[in-house]
Amino acid sequence: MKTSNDGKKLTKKDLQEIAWRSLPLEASWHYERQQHLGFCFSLQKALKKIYEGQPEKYIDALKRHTGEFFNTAPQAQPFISGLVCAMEEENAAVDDFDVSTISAIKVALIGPCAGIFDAIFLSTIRIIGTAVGASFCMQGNPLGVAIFLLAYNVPAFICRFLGVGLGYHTGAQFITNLEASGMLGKFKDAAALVAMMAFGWMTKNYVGLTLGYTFGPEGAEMTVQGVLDSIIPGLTSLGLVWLFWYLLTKKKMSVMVALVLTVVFAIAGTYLGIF
Amino acid sequence: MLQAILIGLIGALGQLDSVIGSLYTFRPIVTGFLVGVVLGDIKTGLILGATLELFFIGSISMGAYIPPDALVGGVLATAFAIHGGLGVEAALALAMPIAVISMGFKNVIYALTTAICAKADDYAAKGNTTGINVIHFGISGIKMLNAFAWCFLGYYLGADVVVNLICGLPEQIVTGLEIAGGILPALGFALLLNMVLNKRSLPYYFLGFVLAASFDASIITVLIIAIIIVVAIWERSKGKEADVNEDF
Repeated sequence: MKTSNDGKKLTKKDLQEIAWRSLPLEASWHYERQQHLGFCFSLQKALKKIYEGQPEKYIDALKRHTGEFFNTAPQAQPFISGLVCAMEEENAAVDDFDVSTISAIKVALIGPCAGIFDAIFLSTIRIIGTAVGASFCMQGNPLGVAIFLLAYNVPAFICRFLGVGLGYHTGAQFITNLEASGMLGKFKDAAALVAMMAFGWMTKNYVGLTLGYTFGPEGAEMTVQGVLDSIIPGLTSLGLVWLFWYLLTKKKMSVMVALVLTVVFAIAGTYLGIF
Repeated sequence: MLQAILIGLIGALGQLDSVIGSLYTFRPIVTGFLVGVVLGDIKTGLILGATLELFFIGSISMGAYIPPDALVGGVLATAFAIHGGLGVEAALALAMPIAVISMGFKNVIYALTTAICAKADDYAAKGNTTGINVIHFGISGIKMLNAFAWCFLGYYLGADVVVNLICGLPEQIVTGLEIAGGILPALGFALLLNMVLNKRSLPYYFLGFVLAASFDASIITVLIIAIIIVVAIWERSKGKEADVNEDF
């Protein structure tokens, strides 16, 4: 795809407006076309400007973006909006532009963008924000709530406001370059590494089970917990997480069943004196 | 009554999140704090909210997966627990069932939404952006009303019922619930693990665990070490690729 740099109609202010209008992306989310109305909302003002004096093409564009399925990570959507605007502009400039390429590029981008941005935001930043935020909240400090929200949203807003310009000016080329350079994969690996370390820390600190069961001769009793802790403290927490992981993924147990079993097990264990 | 309305408003506010930018203000860590403010026990609200946040850490919508409703589950479980002085364990045991039931009703609303959204195509054909936007934001209004109704009615009608029920339980069952409360975050973590697990990053999970278990490292220490490792890996790969790719 080529996006010529001359003849750009949208100013920096217009692009910022797209980013602002991308905030309510998920307001009308539903199963069938998901974020389609939110995506259309982000473009409306820009489309009006792009197709000034071309009412038919304007309505076509509205129909296109209202009608088509859309679903991606909210932080990535302004980038796609910017890119789509660049293509709509080309359509406005020439008569024989194949508008199906606009739809095609949307479909091609939403999946990978969701993959990359969910990995960064939901699987990394959110987990780190939760780990740090929760450690404050557990001590009754409301600062934890602010940390959680800022950790997640400051990067989100940066992505939105930088993304829209990137999409508009460099377009699909940006993605191609990024993929060719291998930076994307490296970045995802790095994000996963940080998230997993934070997650390991959380497993030790936020899962708690103490086994009170004792054994051995009178006067020299040992507790099960004491033995386990002498190997590695927190081994029970680690074991529990992986036990649940095994049940949920390998045994296809549902979350509710696992929940009920846990409660039954815990109550039965109390009667039997295991804990 | 006033408290019940305010609890309902927290639910509506959480749903408003999808209008103001998917900021994740609907998560239990935020709503727990707000419920604590409304019910006059901020400290407990924060602790409950953080605990439920960890429990629901794997209940997030990734792609088109609709998770249990952490908003209504989190708000009501926190409110019940503070109202009756029930403690973290009861909140944990209550949250998931509430969240699953609420998710079921939400699915009905999503189906309804699909029918309404079909009308937006007609407006688009007429170039009527106002019409499209009325539908877009109107639907979020319906969703807010739904969340309000759940949280308001749940608290107004259910708080005393639930609290009396739990307070009437034999002591050993209560102790059992407490133990289950310690175990349940592991279930939430397992759900998250299911989403993020890959072989290459798995060793670092255990590294983070060992740093916490054997050295009592703080989360900040662990993050700093993680960043050092990332930089070290990047520096090494830079050296290797220098001949191949001069740009980086």
